[in-house]
Amino acid sequence: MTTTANDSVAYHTSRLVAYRDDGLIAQTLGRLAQGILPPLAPALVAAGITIVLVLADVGVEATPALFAPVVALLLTGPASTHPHDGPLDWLVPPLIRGIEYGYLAALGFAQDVSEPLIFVLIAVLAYHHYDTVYRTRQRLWPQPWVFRAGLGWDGRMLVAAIAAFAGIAPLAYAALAAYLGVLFGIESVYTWTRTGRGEGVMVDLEDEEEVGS
Amino acid sequence: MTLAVIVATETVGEGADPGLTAELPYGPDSTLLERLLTSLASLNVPDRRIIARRDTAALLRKDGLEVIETDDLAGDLEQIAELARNARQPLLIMHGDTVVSDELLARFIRDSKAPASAVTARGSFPEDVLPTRPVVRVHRARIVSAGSRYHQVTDPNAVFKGVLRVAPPETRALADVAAEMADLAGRLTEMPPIRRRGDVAEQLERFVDTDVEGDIDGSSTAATPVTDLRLGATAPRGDDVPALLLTGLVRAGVRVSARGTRILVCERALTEDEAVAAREAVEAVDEDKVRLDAAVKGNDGFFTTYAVSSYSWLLARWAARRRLTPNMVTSISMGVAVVAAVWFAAGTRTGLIVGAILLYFAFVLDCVDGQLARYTRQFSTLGAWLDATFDRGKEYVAYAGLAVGSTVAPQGSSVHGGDVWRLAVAAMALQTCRHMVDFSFGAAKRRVRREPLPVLPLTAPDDSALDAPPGATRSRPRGMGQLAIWLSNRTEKMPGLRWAKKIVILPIGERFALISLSAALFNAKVTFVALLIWGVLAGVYTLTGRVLRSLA
Repeated sequence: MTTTANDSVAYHTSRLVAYRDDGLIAQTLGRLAQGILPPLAPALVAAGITIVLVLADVGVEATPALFAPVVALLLTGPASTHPHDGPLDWLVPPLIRGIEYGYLAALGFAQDVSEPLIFVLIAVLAYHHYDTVYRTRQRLWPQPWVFRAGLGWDGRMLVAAIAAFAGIAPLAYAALAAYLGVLFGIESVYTWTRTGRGEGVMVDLEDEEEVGS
Repeated sequence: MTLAVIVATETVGEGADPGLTAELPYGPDSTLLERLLTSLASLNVPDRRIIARRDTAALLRKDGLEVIETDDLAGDLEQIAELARNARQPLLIMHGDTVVSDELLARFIRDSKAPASAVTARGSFPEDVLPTRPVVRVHRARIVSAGSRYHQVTDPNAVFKGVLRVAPPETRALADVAAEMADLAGRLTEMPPIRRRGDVAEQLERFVDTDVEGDIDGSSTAATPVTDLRLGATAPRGDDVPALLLTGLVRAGVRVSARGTRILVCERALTEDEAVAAREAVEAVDEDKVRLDAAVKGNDGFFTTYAVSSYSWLLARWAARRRLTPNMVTSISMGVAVVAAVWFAAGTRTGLIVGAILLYFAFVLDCVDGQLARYTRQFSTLGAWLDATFDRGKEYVAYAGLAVGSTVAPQGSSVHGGDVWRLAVAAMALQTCRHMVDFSFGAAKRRVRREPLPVLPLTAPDDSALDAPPGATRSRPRGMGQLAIWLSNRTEKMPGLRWAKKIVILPIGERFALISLSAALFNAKVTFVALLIWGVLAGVYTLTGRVLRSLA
């Protein structure tokens, strides 16, 4: 295996982009923008707007929070093809996670979705996101169809918002948790058990976890 | 799989029938070379080539070894160039007279992180003592300059112990370097090994002519400051092929990592006395203990270091003797955490206390699995994934258990924290986002393109081209980012602050301790509020530091 400095740069770049976990719509927007739009500033704005919309939602009959996914998508989606090579672009994947988890949690609470169910849905998503990190570190890239089938952060937020608009948020949360749980769980366990028993090279997962996990 | 290239050209004394140093006795019924070959075989390095002169090759071949015959230094280097050019695996290059602890050799061979590495030992070099081993200058675990009989090192701070490992793709550089060195063999002039900074070329000439020439003859080598005077006191007579190759690699701009010996042994034995002393030194070290100590990760948090790792090595050793695999321990740990969560969910004080104790032991077992893997050298991608994923699983299943328990606890009891599911969701989301910050920052940090290292011609007798330009002094930090890095580095050196910095970021050990203690003493609500407050502070602290670093 020959790794040049450039290969290594490309490898870490694609890891950062994989951490975003974009769905089909965000990827399409990204292809339209051709990687020109920088990711950080729009992601920050999207996070701010999401917070405002979610807060504005509290106790109001009209539901501005339902528009948050569209705003986030329009702002963050086009940057999905950007190389994320700005000095602070590493902030984007955690920002997207914050938007996604925060939105799904807030919407679920507002729509009276069973709270343990919200916990389970976010735990399933967290599993998928951790798994993506742990895999790419060992160069076991998840297949592209997994990201597509997982709907991406954009797809999941939109499904939740539309379901809330239709008044079936609890059903949608249960369906999402069940579907994604089975998808991510089975796919990742299958991949790992199939490839993971290989000859043991020294693998240090704690490598980049400065926080000490 | 490694290919070992063993250079057995060094002879003992002079005379008509000079014996090979590699054939010196090691114990009553073994030679240095035999012992080395046995060690390599036990470390799964069956592929071994021995380079020897024609007159001694027959002697070695008698023992059924694969010997490559050469006539001189140029021949040695050409053969190594050939081997390196065809190598698809890492190359281990060392002297046949090396006495090395198995543990050190094992670590060195399996060190897959560095494409090129060399065993070195720190040392100081007083003016009046001439080193008997090749000197190197090490900076930040990288060999910046390496010396040989023909290449001088400015202000060395370590010696090269004669063991070199080069893995693809750097084997190509090794092949080029060996070929170039073979061309130069016999045309380079001998140099005193050390150049003091500030010495300019003409001063050096004088330096060589007067004082040091005498030292080269070996008159003052007896004063070498080593613990056992019989160890490493003799200067080799022949050319040092590994040292020449190391010098070549470093000067070709290859990143060569310096790997220390710590308390393990790696010495060339050039006389019978040295062989005896080296064997004594190897046997004086309890290698099992060394390996066990090393299995305990050095860079852990405060709680992990003092409340877990202080005794978890006992469990790791016990597990190793019981032939438990790391994955079994990981799974048991997950199981214990699930049982802890079930106790948490009971909604009673007993449940919280039992759950807290079980969660602590789940964490202890979590440390044991890694220690066991390092101790028994059982690494697998599946194991790494299992460990990392179950760590997250253990923590979040405890959150769920606590949330259930708080809800089912009878109103008015001290265990009842009300409906804490929202807090549980918030704590989990926050923790996951904090991890994502770590992961993304780590991926971005690794992306930094490394500056190419300076290249020096092999014909240059010294490394003065590496000297800092005159007037270059360490600059004071400029800007907030530089200041943050400077501050961070400074505080690393103060033990109290270093621990404080580690505790503040709420690492896994502290989190598990916080969950256990707050749940056992108070209730789930307190646990989640504490996790959230501490987590937010930790997040702000790490984010600030990293943003400043990124902008620097």
